[in-house]
Amino acid sequence: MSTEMIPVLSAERITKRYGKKTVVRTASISVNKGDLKVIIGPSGAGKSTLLQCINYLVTPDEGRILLEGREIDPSRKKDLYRLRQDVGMIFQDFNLFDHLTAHDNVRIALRRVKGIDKTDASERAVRELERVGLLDHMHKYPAQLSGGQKQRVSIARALAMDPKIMLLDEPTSALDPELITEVLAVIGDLRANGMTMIMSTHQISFASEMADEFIFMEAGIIVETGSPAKILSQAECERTREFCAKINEIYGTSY
Amino acid sequence: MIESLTILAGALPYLLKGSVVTIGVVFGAMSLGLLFGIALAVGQVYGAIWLKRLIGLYVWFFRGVPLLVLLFLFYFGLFSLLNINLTAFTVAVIVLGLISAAYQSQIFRGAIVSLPDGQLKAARALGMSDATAIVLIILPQALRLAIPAWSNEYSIVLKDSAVAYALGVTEIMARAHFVASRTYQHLPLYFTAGVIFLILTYAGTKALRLLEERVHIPGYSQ
Amino acid sequence: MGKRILWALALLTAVFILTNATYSMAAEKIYINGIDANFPPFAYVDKKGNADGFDVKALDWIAKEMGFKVEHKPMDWDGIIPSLRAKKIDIIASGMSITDKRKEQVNFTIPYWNIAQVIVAPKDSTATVDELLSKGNKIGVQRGTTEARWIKENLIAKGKNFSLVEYDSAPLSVEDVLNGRIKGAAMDDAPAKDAVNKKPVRIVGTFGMPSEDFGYAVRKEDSELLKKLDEGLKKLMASPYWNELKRKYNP
Repeated sequence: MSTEMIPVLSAERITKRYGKKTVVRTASISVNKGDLKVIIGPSGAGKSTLLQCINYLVTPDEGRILLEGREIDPSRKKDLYRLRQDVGMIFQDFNLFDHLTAHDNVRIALRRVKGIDKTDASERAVRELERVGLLDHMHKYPAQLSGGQKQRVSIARALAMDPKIMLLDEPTSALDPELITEVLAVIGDLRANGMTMIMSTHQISFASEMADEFIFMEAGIIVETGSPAKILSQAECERTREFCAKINEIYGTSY
Repeated sequence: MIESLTILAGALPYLLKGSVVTIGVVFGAMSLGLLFGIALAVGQVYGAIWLKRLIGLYVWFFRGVPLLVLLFLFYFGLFSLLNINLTAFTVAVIVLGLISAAYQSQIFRGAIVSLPDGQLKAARALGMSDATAIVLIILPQALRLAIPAWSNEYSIVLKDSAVAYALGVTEIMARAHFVASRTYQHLPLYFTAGVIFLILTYAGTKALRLLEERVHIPGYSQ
Repeated sequence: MGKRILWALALLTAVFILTNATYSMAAEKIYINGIDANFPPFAYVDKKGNADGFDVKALDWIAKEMGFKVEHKPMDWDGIIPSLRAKKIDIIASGMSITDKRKEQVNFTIPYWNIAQVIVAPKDSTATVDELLSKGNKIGVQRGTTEARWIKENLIAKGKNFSLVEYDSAPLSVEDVLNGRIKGAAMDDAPAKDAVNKKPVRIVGTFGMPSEDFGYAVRKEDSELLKKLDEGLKKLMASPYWNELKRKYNP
């Protein structure tokens, strides 16, 4: 008998509609501490919407979110802001604050959301930038950084908030191929340090080395979940197999 | 010619004092317009539907009604009815400010809307309230973008300020007219008034240009 | 930095509006006389920018004599009666003709000056008044004046073949006479004399408008002030200073 483990986060039966189109249909994900779950699937499958429903950047029409077993009531602003502080989010196109230096990008929420005093916030921001290898670039503005550097700043920005879980929405999709590695390395580090994460990505070979579980999503529905090996080579569902075959064709396979 | 120049030289200090009045009106109106314009713009972009409609109505009204009519409405009408005794100068500042707020709100609204969605999303994702995000993330960027259009608005308000004489605010144009009525040197005096306006326009736009350079975000093309 | 500027602006604006709203109650009562500063020799601003003119100096004398304080404030003629009624000013002593129409809105003092309306034309023109007011000619006049009204109602409406061009002031219409844009300009005889002294124009003559009296205007309810002004005017006109004023300003 194992003691009952409370998931860090569960999303239960999430549904999101835009007009008549259902973008996410009764999707459920549950993540335990230290897990990395990877969502794969074709573009337009609803991966991004599902991730954004988890911290209510997009308000789901149905379903609920539980953080460490507590249900979030999004109508209560305090709950909502608390949830978002606890859930770090990495966007496909970085979304760094363009008018702030890398240092200020990391520092601003520490100061203005967590209310940490200036010296402590500054030190913390420096440590996080050091962790993603950007200490030398801390005084640069986003427009002076490469895509890979920007994404690393955004990871530092999220980490500084001490999130309980991180959501990574195709973190390398907007990057030139030669810049992808540096971002993947940082994500690999996070994984090694036990960060709980949900990531959507097309970097199948990287993800298959790292992930505890693959979630295949298509047309707003979670079609199949399982270990990377199972999903990639012995998927039960026809659609999953087709997608994986295509992915292997494009990106090659490490299996 | 000599006579004109002597008269002009004599009148110059008087005209220049008028430019202090003009600067006061313009500075006051632009400041009021800036603060109120920002509030209107934020309301119009992020507010509830009824607020958007209300602001739309405000903008429509203050952009549509001629300046002189508004000046009279406020000076002789509204403030008199409310028994608030404001000087002509103050009313001119308030009316020009309210009109400028309508125009400035559209400048700021355009600037806010032109920012990528992701900025607000990222701020929310960090746990910022919308108000905090607007103050810390959206406005600093939007206001930078707005400076060129703002300097255009400045030269419009500067020129509009001459209408304030209708209430008895003795700014540059009114003074030029007074001196001309006494001396019959209309042309040289209006010419001089025009030159003062040009200098004020130049100085203002130059100052804003410097501000734009100063707050320019490194790495962005202008 | 930007936020600090915004806060500073907000503070300044608030302070500015508050101080302006309150300072009017602090001082002792000073009567404000609204003048049309484009109406020499009755009212204008001197080289230093101070109000001057026949009416200005006359009212100063009356105020001193009757023991009240007065300040002169240049106003746009178009808005001068609304300003009086809205208590922005308390007196209009600035060559205002007493008319029945205006009496509906304000009260006038006793008349202190009789004035005729004349037409001014270039010095070298030989046209008569009748010739000027015909042939579709353009004639200038100051907007909002009694002569503008009278000409419209009694000449143009009755089929005289000329048109009116309205100006902000009589001197401006004189300038346009000299520019040749209009054939002549109608105005009170006093500013016409002033124009003749300063520009190559001549007074062609009157054009049939009955002469008018100038009086000071006050609000209907200010009977106390009206009494003081009437009494002061009588004293002034009986004093030697009255003739001195006439000599000095030659209205």
